[in-house]
Amino acid sequence: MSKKEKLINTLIDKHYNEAYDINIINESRNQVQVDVNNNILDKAVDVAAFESKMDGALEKMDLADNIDFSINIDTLKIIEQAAQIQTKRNSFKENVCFIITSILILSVVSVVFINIGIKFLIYFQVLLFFIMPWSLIPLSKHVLRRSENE
Amino acid sequence: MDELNLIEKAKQGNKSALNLLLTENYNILKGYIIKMTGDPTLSQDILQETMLKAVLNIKKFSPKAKFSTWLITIATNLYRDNLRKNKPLTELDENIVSTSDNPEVDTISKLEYTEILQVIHGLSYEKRAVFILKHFYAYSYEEIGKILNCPIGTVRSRLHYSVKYIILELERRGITHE
Repeated sequence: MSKKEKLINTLIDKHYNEAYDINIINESRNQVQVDVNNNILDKAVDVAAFESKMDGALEKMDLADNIDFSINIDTLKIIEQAAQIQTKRNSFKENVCFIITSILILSVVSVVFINIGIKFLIYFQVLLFFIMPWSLIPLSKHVLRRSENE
Repeated sequence: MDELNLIEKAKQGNKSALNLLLTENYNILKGYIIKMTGDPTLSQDILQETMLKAVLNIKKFSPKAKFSTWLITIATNLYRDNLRKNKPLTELDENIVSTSDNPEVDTISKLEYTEILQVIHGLSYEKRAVFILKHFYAYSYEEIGKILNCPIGTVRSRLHYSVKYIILELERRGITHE
């Protein structure tokens, strides 16, 4: 990178309050030698000239802050939309979970049934008959609490 | 209520906290997207999509950075994805909203705004993003690096290039003088 290029980069860093090497600027200030080439940036080796040129250009760019398009966005509607997407995702997950669990339970039951026979199925059904009503109460309470939190 | 508090409430599913967070950061995000895209329809789409994505992923947000920075990161990624899928649009002038009551002043400023947008859009999307984030939002090189997922050295060189390009381009168009 040429000295001139380094100086210009340093001046840009300085303009935006970023870390820069002050020696590069001081060195250039001492050496008052303005190159009069046709290229616009070539003339800017003079620190003060380049800085005022840069300030002018960047000030013009500030106009972009006033540019506005008529955009209408309803943030509440977006939140509602997100809630609907979330519900859909959750119900999909729950369905997948339900199917996997059902397959697992059915396959375990059938494996045990094949090994032990009809006796197991009767014991299992009796057990289920007594346990299920008791397990449903805490389960429904948990589901209710979860939906309240959501 | 401070931002951290709002974020915490929003994460717990509080809709009004979420709404407040979005409305407080709406103008920053809108300004950034308008400058990046220069197109009203695309701006509307990206703004909407950014907010939707932010609401859906609010639980993943860790408040190490500001909420607006996170929104800008999402918007930048969405814009980049959009550029990959579609050709860039170039219509810039017609939809700029007037800020003056005087039609003459209005026309002149619209022309000026269009020129300024054209200058910004002469930069590639990466350089444009660096320039906009640095010049209009005063982000540090490090923060820009995090937003755009690139090293600080790259951010610095992109900014240097952008400023030099803007100086030359404004002079070429006769907007600023030598």
